[in-house]
Amino acid sequence: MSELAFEYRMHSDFERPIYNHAFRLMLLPPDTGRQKVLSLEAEVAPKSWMSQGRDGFGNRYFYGTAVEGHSTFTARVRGRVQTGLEGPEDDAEPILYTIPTPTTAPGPCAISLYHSLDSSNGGGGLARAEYLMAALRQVLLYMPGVTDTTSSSEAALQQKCGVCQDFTQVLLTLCRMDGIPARYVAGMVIGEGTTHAWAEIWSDGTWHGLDPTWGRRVNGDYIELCHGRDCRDCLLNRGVYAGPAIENQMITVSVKNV
Amino acid sequence: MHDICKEADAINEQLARYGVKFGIYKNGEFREQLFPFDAIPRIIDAEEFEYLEKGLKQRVTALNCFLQDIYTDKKIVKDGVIPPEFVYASSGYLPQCEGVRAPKGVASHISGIDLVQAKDGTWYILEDNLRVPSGASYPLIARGLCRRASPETFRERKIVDNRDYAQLLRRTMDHVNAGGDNVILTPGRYNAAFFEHSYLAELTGSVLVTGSDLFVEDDILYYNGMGGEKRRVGAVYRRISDEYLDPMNFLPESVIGVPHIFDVFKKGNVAIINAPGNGVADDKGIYYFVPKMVQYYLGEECITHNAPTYLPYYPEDMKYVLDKFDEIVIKDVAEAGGYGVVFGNKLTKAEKENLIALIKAEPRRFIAQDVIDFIDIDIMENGERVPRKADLRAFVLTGEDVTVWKSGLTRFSRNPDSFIVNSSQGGGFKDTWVLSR
Repeated sequence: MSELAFEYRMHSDFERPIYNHAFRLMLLPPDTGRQKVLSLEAEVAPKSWMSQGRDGFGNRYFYGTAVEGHSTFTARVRGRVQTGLEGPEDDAEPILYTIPTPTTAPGPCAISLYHSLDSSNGGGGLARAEYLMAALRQVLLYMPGVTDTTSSSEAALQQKCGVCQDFTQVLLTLCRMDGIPARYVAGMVIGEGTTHAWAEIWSDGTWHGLDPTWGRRVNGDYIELCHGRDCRDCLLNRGVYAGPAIENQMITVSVKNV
Repeated sequence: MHDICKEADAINEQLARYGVKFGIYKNGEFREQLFPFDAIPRIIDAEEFEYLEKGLKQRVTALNCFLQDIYTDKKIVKDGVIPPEFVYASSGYLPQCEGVRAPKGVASHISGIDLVQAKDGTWYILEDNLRVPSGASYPLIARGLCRRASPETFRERKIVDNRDYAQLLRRTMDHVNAGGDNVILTPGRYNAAFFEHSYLAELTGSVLVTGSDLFVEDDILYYNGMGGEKRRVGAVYRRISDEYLDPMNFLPESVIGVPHIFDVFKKGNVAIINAPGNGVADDKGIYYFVPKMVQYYLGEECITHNAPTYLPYYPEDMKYVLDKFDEIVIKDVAEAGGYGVVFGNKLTKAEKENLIALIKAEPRRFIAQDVIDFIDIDIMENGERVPRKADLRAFVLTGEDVTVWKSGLTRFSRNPDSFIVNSSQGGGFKDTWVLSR
C-alpha cells in the first residue's frame, strides 16, 4: 500500500478569444478495489458554471461552460490517493470487455501477429495476457506523435510504433481475440510527465493491471482516472468552442510518494 | 377511390410544394428527391386493426421494459433469456446509458414498427424502430390533401380520421416534459426528413431548433426566445442520432449536437424523446428475442409474429442457414435502411462462398430469415394498376397510455423485382386507411 499525491495541470492558449467553451474533464480518480481517494480539489478558469457527473462505467468527471470570450483556459486537479490496495471488485461486467470496438477490432496485422504466436503459451487469464504483452513489445516501438486519440490498434501495428494508448489497445485486441476480458485504463504514474494508459485483465474474479508500455504489472505507483472499452471511452479532456482559434495546450502531471 | 386516383398528380404537386422530399446519399453523393405518393390507399378493416393494435401495444410495452432493464438490473440477461454478448456487441448498446432510468419508465416514446402481410393474411413484424423512426408526417399530410381533393371519398366511407397524430405526439411530449417548452431538435435543412421536423413542430406547437440554438447552464437546458430571453426546455424530441447528440458524452467530433444535454437528461432536468441507447432494442440480432421479452416481462404469449428468424450464433441455426442458403435472406445486423440485406439465391458462387466464410467467422453479425412471400398492393403507373411489394410502418406512441396511431406509412417498391421498400432506396408511399367498422 502506498499513498500518492498528484497534481494535474492543463493550460491552453488560444490565438484569439473563443466563446461558448464547453468542457468536460475526466480527471477525478474514482474509488476502486485498488485505490481510495483521500482528498481531491479541482479548479477551472474561466468558467460560467460547473457541475459533476458520472459516466456509465462509473468514471467521475466535472463539466461546464465558459461563455464569455477568453484566450487562456486552465484546469488544475490535486489530490491524495491510497494505492496498491486489494479490495473487492464492483465492476463485474467482464463480458463487455471481450467485444471488439472500432479502435480495437483486429485487422490483418493483428490477425497475422496473433497467428504467429504460440497459441498454448500462458494458458488463459493473466499469464496468457502477460505472454501477449511480451509478444507485442517485440513488434511495437515507442514513438510519440505518430498516432492520435482516434487511432486504432490496427493502425499502430501497421506502422509498428505508437505511445501508451497504442500499446494498450494492441494488448486489448490480442486478449479479446483469446476471449480474455481486457479494458482500457487512463491515469497517472509516479514521476513527472503527462497522463498514462494501461490495460486491466479480468482473471480469477478480479482485474489485474498490466502496463504494456513498460512491460510490467501495475502496482501502487499508478493512479486510475477512468476505464472503458478503449481509448475513445477514456477521453480525459473534451472541449468544444466557437471561434476560429488555434489552441496550444500544455499538460503536466506530477505524482509523488507521500 | 377512383376520384382520388384522378387527383394523384395534383396531390403530388402539392406535396412537392410543401417540400415533402427525401434526401438520399448514394455513392457519396447527396440528392434530394420527391417522395412519390400513390393515391390507392392500403385499407385495413376494423377487426384486423384491432388485432394489430393489441399486438403492437404488447410488443412496445415489452420493449420499453427491456430498455429499462438492460441499462439497469439486466435481469433478462442474468436469467439467461438473452446471451450478454448479444447486448454488448449490438452497435446500439451505449455504455454511457448504464444506470440511467428514462423518466416515467418510457424510453421509446415513438416507436415505428415495420410489418408485412403474407399471402395467407398473416402479419409479420419485419423490424422495430425505436431510435428516431420517421415517416408519420407523410400519410398525415397526404390525408389532408386527399380530403381536399376528393371530399366525397371520405364522406362515403368509414375511414378513421388520422389527423390526430400531432395531438398524440404533443401528449407524449407533455407526459415526460420536465418543466419548460417542447422543442424539436433537427440536424437542419439538409436532413432527409427535414420536412417532417418542421411540419411536426408546427402542428405540435413545439419550437423547431438546431443544436446551436440550445445551451446548458447549471444543468438546465435553454434556448433563446424571440426577444432574446432565456427559455427553459422541458422535452426535446430530437431527430439527431445518439452518437451526434452531445459531443461531451458521445462522438466528440459532432457539431450538430448540444454539449452537456445528456448530463441534463441524466439529472432528470429534461426529457429526451426517444431516450438515448434505444438502439440496443431494435438491433436486428435482438429482434429474435422480442417474443421472449413479451413472455419474460409481461408473462403473456406474444401476439405479433416475428418473421421466422435464425441466429447463426446457435449451432442448430447455423446448420439451417447453410442447408437452406438459397431460400433465405441474410441481414447484416450493423446495417439499416435496406442496406446489408442479401437474398441467398441472388448471389454468384464466389459471393456466396465469401458470405458463408464471413458468417462462420462472425456469426453474431448476421441473422437469417425465411423469405416471406408478402402480398402485393396495386399502385398506379402510367395510368395502369400494377402490383408492387409494400410494407407498413405502424406508429406506437407511449405516454400515459400506449396508443397505436390509426393509420401508418405504407411504403412500396417502385421496382417490380424488388422486395426492398425503404424510402432511402427510392420507394414511394401510400396513405393507410383504417376503417371504423
